[in-house]
Amino acid sequence: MLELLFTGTKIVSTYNRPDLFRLRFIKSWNAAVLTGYSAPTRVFHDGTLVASGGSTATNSVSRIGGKVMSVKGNSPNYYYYEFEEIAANFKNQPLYGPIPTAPSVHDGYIDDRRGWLLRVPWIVDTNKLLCFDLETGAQLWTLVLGENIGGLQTAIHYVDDNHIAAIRPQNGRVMLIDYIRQVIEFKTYVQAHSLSTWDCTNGLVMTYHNTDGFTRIYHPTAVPYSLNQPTLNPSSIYLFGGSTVTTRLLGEHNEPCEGWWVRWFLQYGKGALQKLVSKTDADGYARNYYFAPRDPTQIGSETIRVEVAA
Amino acid sequence: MSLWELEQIPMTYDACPEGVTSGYHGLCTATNRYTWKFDTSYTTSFYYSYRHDTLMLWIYTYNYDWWRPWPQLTKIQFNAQTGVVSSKWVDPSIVQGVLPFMRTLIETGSFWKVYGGSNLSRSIFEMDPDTLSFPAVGGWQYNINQLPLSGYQTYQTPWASIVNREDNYLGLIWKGDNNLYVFRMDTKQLMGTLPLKGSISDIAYEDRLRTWVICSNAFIHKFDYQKLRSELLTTVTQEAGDLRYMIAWDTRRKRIAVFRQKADAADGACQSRLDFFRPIPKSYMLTDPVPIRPLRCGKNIPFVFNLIGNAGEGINPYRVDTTLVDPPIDGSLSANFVRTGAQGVGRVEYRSPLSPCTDTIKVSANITDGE
Repeated sequence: MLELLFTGTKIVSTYNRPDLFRLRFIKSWNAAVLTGYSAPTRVFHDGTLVASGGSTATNSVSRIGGKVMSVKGNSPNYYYYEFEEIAANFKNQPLYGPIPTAPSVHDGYIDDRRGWLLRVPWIVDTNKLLCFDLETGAQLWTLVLGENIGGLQTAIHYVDDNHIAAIRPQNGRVMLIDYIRQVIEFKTYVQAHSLSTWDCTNGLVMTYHNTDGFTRIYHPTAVPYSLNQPTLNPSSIYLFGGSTVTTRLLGEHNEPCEGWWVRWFLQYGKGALQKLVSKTDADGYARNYYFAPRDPTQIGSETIRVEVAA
Repeated sequence: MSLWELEQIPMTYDACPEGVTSGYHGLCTATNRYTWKFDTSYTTSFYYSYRHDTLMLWIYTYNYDWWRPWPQLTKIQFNAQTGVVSSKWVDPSIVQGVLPFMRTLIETGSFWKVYGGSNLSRSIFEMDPDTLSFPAVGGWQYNINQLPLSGYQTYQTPWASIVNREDNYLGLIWKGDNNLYVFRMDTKQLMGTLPLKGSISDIAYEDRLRTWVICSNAFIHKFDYQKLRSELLTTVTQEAGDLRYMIAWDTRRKRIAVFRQKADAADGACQSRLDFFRPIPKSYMLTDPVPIRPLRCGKNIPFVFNLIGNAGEGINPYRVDTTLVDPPIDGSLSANFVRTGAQGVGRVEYRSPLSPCTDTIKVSANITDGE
């Protein structure tokens, strides 16, 4: 579970129909745009909602650079329209399209630097990320995500020029995907919610909950949930010897927790530890070195204890 | 209010003579204590006249000091500096004036001349600025049938136009189609369209690049119509009783005048107003500061917030004061004030103490016009 930083202070309304909306973060605004059923509307981190008038903006897709485009058209031909951020309006003339083979209009991500259109299907193949050619609509590659991430409200969002985040509101699943190397870098959860987006300006997950009307802001670091028992390598220790000792800090869904300080203790004082504290690395591991006793009278058993520093 | 308001000039109707409560030429009644009033249904034109250095309002009025069963075309000139009415002229002709046929709003355009369109011929004309006769003697005109129009555009008269004869640009807006269509008059091409936030109410020509459009829902666009892009989206505050908004760009003073036509009061008193604005948005609110890094003891934690106008537009660069309130105060802030950057985003760092605590950050902006 990602760490909850902030719960909104103002009510956001989607008229009890969040399924008709999309939330997309606009990098230059430092705010998200709510598109779909009503006119494009700004949603700030604290839940401040500012309606900007204008026409209904149908479906929207994320675009490289922290931008957004709208999708219009009839299956199988869809057109993609640029979003003018100053006027908070979608343009009238399509930039791309018709793209003939896109399976549905419900979600997508446009990387027009590489000429790609990414989609997570919402009816079939919902455990896949599909890549289409932006000009021809031909399918270029498929990344199997390993679990059902698709669905009506699943959305993929710009993170940086190589990464997208797929967030599934129904169960709060968050996947950080390097779509250039086509690997999933990080899998975790936030609370189940109604709409979500990735704040590409500050590196946060922003969700909206229809149940209470609040936005929530998550930091993309997992909250520590379990700290493994320290393991020794080599596991047998002799007088004058030593051993590397390792522990691992994980979140509730086995996500590694990076950057946390771990304290080390010896219960009986036999031998010594190289460090009193060490920091977890990107995989959640914290390492130390245990020096065995040099005095034969101290031979016996010792217990190494670890705890997470507050 | 999001445009920076300078002053509001209320308008008045002339009162009935003292002691008269009814029967003043048969029309001054207990519920109408005034000898004339604005019509609310016919088209109205409002623009800045460079030649006269006045704001010109062409509007139909009902005049009760003599019997006329129809509204009469009236030209009201306002001092562009003070907003005070400098002259009022009622077309005395028995037939209605030219405006019923002027379906395209009269606006200033290229060379600070006055342009408008007729529903009798499919043309945009240069008009005589004093009499509104068209085309003006030796004046310019352009038949829009030459343009690549489609559908209803081929027979419906545009509601508003901007004429840039220097660069051969013509902007047209049709009522009911919330888009500004930009054409090249020489090559007869549609260069593109700019979507509006609502139904067109009025347009004002700023210069060879820019134009202002006000919508009936009080949103104001500033467009660079040659580059086909927006430069600003803002609003004027909507008030109860607003009927329509008309906008004019004062070329000399570089400011905006909005004629806010409102419903008359119960006794017939005029509620309409002339509002002057700087062409820049004013702040409306600060969003709450939100932490963007985990709250930890002994760390610097950045908080972000937005200073916005009431159309959501970012306001910058303004000073926002940041303080910790509600003692006891345990941590500290990296700065006592910050400036909002692009799109009105402000950021301040909170330095937390080494032990857990509760602190409250207050952000506040004192917006002045720098005078």
